[in-house]
Amino acid sequence: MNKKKKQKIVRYSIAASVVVLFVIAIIVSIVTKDLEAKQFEQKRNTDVMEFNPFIENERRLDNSFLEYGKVLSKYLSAGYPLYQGNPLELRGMDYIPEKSTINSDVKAFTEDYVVDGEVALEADQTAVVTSTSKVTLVYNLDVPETALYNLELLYGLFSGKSANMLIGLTINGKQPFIESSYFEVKRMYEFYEYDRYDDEGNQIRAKQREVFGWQKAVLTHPDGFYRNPYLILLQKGTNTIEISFSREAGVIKTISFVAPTVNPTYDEYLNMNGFSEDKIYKGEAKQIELEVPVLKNDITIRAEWNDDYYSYPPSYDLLHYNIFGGARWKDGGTSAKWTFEVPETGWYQLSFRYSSSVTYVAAYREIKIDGAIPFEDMEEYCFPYSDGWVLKPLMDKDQKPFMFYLEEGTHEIEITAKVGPLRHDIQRIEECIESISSLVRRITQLVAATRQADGSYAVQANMDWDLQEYIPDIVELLESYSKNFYEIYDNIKEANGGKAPYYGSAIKVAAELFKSLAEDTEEVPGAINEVNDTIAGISNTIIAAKEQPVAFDYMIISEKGYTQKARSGFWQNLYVGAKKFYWSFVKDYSAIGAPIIEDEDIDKYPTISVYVATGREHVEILRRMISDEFTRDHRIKVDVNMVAGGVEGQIMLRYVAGNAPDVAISVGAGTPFEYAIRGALLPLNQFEGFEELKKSYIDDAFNPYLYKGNYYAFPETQSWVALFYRTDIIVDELQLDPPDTWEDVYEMLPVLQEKGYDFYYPYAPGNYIPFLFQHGGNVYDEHAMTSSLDTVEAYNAFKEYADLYIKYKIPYAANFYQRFRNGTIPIGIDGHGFFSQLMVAAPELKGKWDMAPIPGHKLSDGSVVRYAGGLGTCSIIISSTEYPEEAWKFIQWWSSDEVQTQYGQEVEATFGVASRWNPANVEALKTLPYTEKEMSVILEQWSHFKEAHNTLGGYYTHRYLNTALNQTILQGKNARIALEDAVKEINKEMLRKQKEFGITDSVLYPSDSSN
Amino acid sequence: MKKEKKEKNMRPAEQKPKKRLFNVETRFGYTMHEVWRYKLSYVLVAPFFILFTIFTLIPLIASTVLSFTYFNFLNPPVFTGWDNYVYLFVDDPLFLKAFNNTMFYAFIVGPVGYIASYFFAWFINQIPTRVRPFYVLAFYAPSLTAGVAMSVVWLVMFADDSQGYLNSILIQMGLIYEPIQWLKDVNLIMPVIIIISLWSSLGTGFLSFVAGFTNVDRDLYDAAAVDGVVSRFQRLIYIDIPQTMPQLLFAAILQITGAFTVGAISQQIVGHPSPEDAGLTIMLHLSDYSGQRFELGYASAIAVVLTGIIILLGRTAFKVFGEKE
Repeated sequence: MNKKKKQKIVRYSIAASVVVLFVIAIIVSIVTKDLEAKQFEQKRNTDVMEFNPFIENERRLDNSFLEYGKVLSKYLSAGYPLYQGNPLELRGMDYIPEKSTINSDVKAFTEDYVVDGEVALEADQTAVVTSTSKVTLVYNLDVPETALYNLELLYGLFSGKSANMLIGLTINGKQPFIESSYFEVKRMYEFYEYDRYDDEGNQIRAKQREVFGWQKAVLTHPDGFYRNPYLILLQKGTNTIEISFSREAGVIKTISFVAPTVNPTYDEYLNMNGFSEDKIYKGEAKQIELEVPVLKNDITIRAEWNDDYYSYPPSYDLLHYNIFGGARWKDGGTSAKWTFEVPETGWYQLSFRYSSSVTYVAAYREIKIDGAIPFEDMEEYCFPYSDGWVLKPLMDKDQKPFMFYLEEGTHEIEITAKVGPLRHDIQRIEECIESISSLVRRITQLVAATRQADGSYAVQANMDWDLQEYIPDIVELLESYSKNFYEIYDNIKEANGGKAPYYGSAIKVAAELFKSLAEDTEEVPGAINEVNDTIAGISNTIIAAKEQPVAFDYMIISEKGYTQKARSGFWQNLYVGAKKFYWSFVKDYSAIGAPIIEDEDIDKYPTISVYVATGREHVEILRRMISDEFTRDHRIKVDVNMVAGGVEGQIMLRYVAGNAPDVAISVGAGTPFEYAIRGALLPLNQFEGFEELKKSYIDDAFNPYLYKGNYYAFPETQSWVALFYRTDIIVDELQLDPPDTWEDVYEMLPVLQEKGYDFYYPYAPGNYIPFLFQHGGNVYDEHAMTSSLDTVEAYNAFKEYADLYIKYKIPYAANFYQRFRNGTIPIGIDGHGFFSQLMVAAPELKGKWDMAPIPGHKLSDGSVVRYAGGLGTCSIIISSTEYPEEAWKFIQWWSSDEVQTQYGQEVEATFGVASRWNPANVEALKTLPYTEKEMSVILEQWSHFKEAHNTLGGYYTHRYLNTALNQTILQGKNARIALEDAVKEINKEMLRKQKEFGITDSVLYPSDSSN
Repeated sequence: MKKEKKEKNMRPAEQKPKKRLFNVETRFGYTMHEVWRYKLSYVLVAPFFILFTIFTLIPLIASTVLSFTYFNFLNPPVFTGWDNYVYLFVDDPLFLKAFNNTMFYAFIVGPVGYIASYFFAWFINQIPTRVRPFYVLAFYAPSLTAGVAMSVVWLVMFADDSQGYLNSILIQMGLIYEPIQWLKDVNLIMPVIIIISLWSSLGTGFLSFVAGFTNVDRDLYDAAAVDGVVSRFQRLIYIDIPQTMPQLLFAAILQITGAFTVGAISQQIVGHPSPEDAGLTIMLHLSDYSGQRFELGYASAIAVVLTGIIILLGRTAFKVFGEKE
C-alpha cells in the first residue's frame, strides 16, 4: 500500500464518519420530535357498545344481564328521549318500611355528625342513616314521562374503614343493566402539613385525612369505564325504586332523577361564550403547581418527587414533592381537584406539563372546570404518550389549542381518570374469553382430556380428531376470535396514538394462534394448553388496558400559543446527572433525615442506631413517629438507617467490623436464631417488661426465637391465612357451604371439578406444616434435637398433603388471583397479600367473595383444629450494643399496642389498603379497618396459630421436605421412602450442627432445667 | 567471578564505580543492590502488585489458615487441625455431587470453549482487516452481556411452559407434544447450563488469540511458503500454533480457572438449592457453607481444595504451552 492510497483512505473515512454522525443526529432529532406527544383523532369514543355474535339471543333480551353499553344501544335505537324537566326528588326518609330490608341502624338523621369537634354533617330529619351491613330501601316514584334520566345522590359518609359506600339499584324489581349492582359513592381526602422539612432540608411527605361533609354525585361507573354518567330509563307512571347500601355507613339526603347534561361541542362552547380573538388573555402566563390538590377521592394518589431539570420546584438537590400522580394514578374513577386564580376575564389556553409513566400508554382524563365539563372533548381528553416531560396545551387533533373562557377570580379544576375508547375492546376481549372457555370445555369433553396436577390438560397426542364433525361451527368461531383479536390489536394501537403498548403483544399472539388453529382444526386438541395460557395472557391485558398512569407537574394558563422550556435536553440531563453524582458522595441516602426537634439538651441524649429493612416511605413514617414521640418522651435519639434488601448480611458484616447497629427491625424470622446461637444477640426476656409486652402477642409467635430458654427476638409483623371463596359460584351457583374440615373439601372437590372449577392450595413445603400440626405432629421433638418427620402423624400428614395433588389433582401451579377473578378457581387458601390484591385490584368482585378460617381436622371431641403459622418479621438487639436498656426501650415502644396501632393507621392513610400493615400485635390488628366478618375470621384463625421452633441445622428441614415433596408429587416416588430419606439427611445435618455448638440435651431449654 | 562478569557487561568499563548503598559482598546486600538498581521497574509493577497482594495473596493465605479452623464469622476462629478436610473428603456426600457436576462442566466447557475460542480467532484472522473488529465484537459481546442475556434470552429460551422459545419451536415442528421441563428436570439442568456457558465462553482468552494472530510475523509465511507450506491448515499447524504459544497458555489458565469456579450461572438458571442439587457446583457448595451455615472454616477448606485443583491444572498448562528452556 503506498502513502497516497493510505491518505486517501484516511480522508475518505473521516468524511464518511462525519456523514454518519450527521445522519445519526438527524435521525435522533426526528425520533425525539416524534416522541413529543402529538394529539390524534379518537374515533368510536362513545358509550354505545355493539352486540357481537358470541352473546346468545335470550341474553340479549334481558337488560339485567347486559352491560350498560349494550343497554344504551337498545335505548337509543328505541328512540327514548332525554328527560329535560325538573329533578324528580326522593327524600331519604321517604322509603316504604314494609317493603324495605332494614336493620336497627337505619333511622332518621336527627343528630349532627361531629368530627374533631366540628359539625361535619348537619342533622336533617328527612335524611336517612344507612348501615355497614347491607340495607335495601324501597321508594315509589311518579314519573311524568318515559325518558332517560341521570341519578343524582346527595350524601355524607361517616368515618369508617376508609372504603367507599357500595350502592345497588333496581327499578321495578329488575336491574336496569348488569353494572347497576355496584355503584360507589366515594370518600374525599385532603393533604395537610405539606410544608415540613427534615433537618437536612428534604421535604417530609404530607399527611392526609378524610374530609367530611355533604357531597353530590351523579351515578357513573365507579372505575371510569364509561364516558358519561349512566342514563337510566324510567317508564311513565309509578315506579318502584330499590336502592341498596352496604359496606360503609353514611347519610342519604336525597335521591334525584335529573335531566342528563349534554355537553356542548367546542364550536358551540365558543359561540355560547362569545369567543373573539381580541378577548384572548394577553397578560403574563401563570403557572399553577399541581402537587397538592385541595381534594381527591382516592387515598393512594398523591404527590411524588421527580428529579428532572425542569420539574418545579426542583428536586435534584434536596427532595421536594414536586409532581402529582404518576404510576399510582392509573385507575379509572380516581380524581383530584385543584383551585387556581384567574387574573382577568377572558379566553385562556390551558397547558399541562406532564409525563407518561408507561411506554406508549396514553392517558385518558375527564376535565371539569368549576364542576362542569366545558365541552365534549373534555369528557375524555387524551394525554398522548410522551417520552419524558412535555408541556402541552389541551389541544385538538390538529394540534390547535383549545381556548377556555374563564372569569376573573378563583376557579376549580377537577381531573378524573377514565378508561377511554378501549372500553369497547376490553368488553370484546371479555366476551371472547368467555366464548373460548366454553369452546375449550366442549373440546376437552370431546377428546376426553384429563387434567394434570399442574392444571394442564393431557390429550392423546397421536390421535386424529375430526372436530368439525362434532363442533360444526368450530372454524367459524376460531376465525372470528382471530379476526376480533386483530381488530382489538389495531384499536389498542389507535387509542394510544399509533403504537401498541406492552400489553398489546398478548392480543397479537392470541390472534395469530387462533388464525393458525382455524387453518388446521386437527391441531386444536394438542393446543388446548396453549389456548389456556393465551387466555391467561389476554386476561392480563384487560387489567393493563384500564391502567393509564400519568404524572402532572404544573398547569399554565396563558395566551394562545404560549409555551416555555419544559423538556430537558442533553445538557440539562447531564447537569442533573452530575449533581446527583456529586450528591452520591455527600448525601447518605440510607439515612432518613429527622424532623427537627427543639430541645436544648438534645446533644446529651444517648443515640441508638436502628436498621430498618422496609421502603423509604415506610421509614419516613417511622422516622416521624420516633421524633414526635419516642425521642421526646424517652430522651433517646435514634439514627434510622434504611437498609435495602437483606439487613441480615449488612448486620453480619458490620458486626464483624465492630460497628453494628444497636437495634434492627423488620428482620426476617429465620435470622435471629442463626445469630443467637453465635452470641450476636441479646436475649430479650431478661429485660424488664418483657412479659407485660408479650401479652398482646400470640405465644406461639415467639417459638422460632427460642434458644436455650431465652427469646432473642420480638415479633413485629405476622401474616394470616384464610379460605377465600366466591359466594356467587360456591354458594349461589353450586349451593355449597364453605368447607369446615379437609373432609368437607374432599367431598366438595368432585362437585367443583365436574363443573370445571378447582380448589387452590399453594404447593410449597411450608404448606405441608399445617397438615402436620393438625394431625398432631410436630417438626422437631420437644427439645428440637431430632426431626419428628419420621412419626406416624408426620407420615399421615405428608400422605394427605401429597394426595391433594396426586389423588385429587388440584393444580400445584396456578395464578390464584387471576383464576379467582375469572371464576375458574372459585375457592382456595391464601393470605394477607391476596386479600389486599382483591380489595384493590378486583373491583368487579366487590361483594362477591367471602373469607372463612382454613379447613381443619376434626378431633375425637368434635372440635376442629385449624393450626397454621404465619411468620413475619421481628425486632432484635445486637449484643455489641453500648445501650442495651435504651435499645430495649425502643423495642418496647415500637412493639407497644399504641405505636403499632398508630403506625398501622398512618400506613393505611398513606398507601391505602394495598399495603395494609399486618402487625403481630393482636390489639393493634383489631383496630385495623377490616370488616367485622373479616376480623372475626382472622382472629379465629389466629386462635389456631402455631409455629414450629427453630433449631440447629433447621434449614435442612425445608430443603429436604421440598425434595421429598418433589419426588413424591412430581416423580411419583413412594411417599414413605421419600420422607424417610429426607429425615435421614435432616437428622444428620442437625447432629452435625449440634456437635459444632456442643449441645447434647436440648436446643430449646437450658441444660439444667431439662428434666 | 560470575558477579563481576555480569557487572562488566552491564556497565561500560570507562565509568567509575559509584559508591554503593549496599554491601554487594553479601547475598542480601547484592539482592537489595539489584532491587535498587531496577527501582523504576518496581514502581511500575507496584500498582498491580499491591492490589494483587491485598485482594488475592492475602485472602489466599488467610483462607488457607482458616481452613484449619472452625470459624463462624461472629466468634474468633478455633484451631481444629485436619477436621475440615477429613469431613470434606470422607463425610460430605454433597461435595462429591458438587465435584462431579463441576468436573462434568469443566471437562466439557473447558476444552470445547478453549478450542472454539482458538478456531474462531483463527477464522477471524482469515478475513480482511477492516471488517475484523466487527466480527471480534460480535463474538466477544456475549461474554460481556451474559448477565443481561441470561434473563432476556436464555430463561425465555428454556422456559418450562409451552411459550418458551425452544419448547414452542419443538412443539411446532411436531417433535414433542408436551413442553420439556428444561430447568426442573434433574437430568437436563447441567446440559442446559453447559450450553449457555459455551455461548458466552468466547471471552478474554478469545481476545488474546485474536491479538496473538495479528502478531504473527508475516515474513514467516513467505519463508514457509518457500519450504512448501501452502495451505492455510498447514500454516496453522507449522506457524500459527507455535507462534501463539504465550496466548495459548494465557487462555488455558483463564479457561481452567473459569471452568472450575462455575456457580453463579447455575444459581441464575436453576436457583440454589437446585432441584435435588442437580445444579450444585463446588463454588455453590462453598457459598452455601459460608453464607447459609456460617461455617467459614469449612468453606475455606473447600476453597483451598478448589485452588489446589486449579493450580495443578495450571501447572500442567505451563508444561504443555510454556516456553521450553
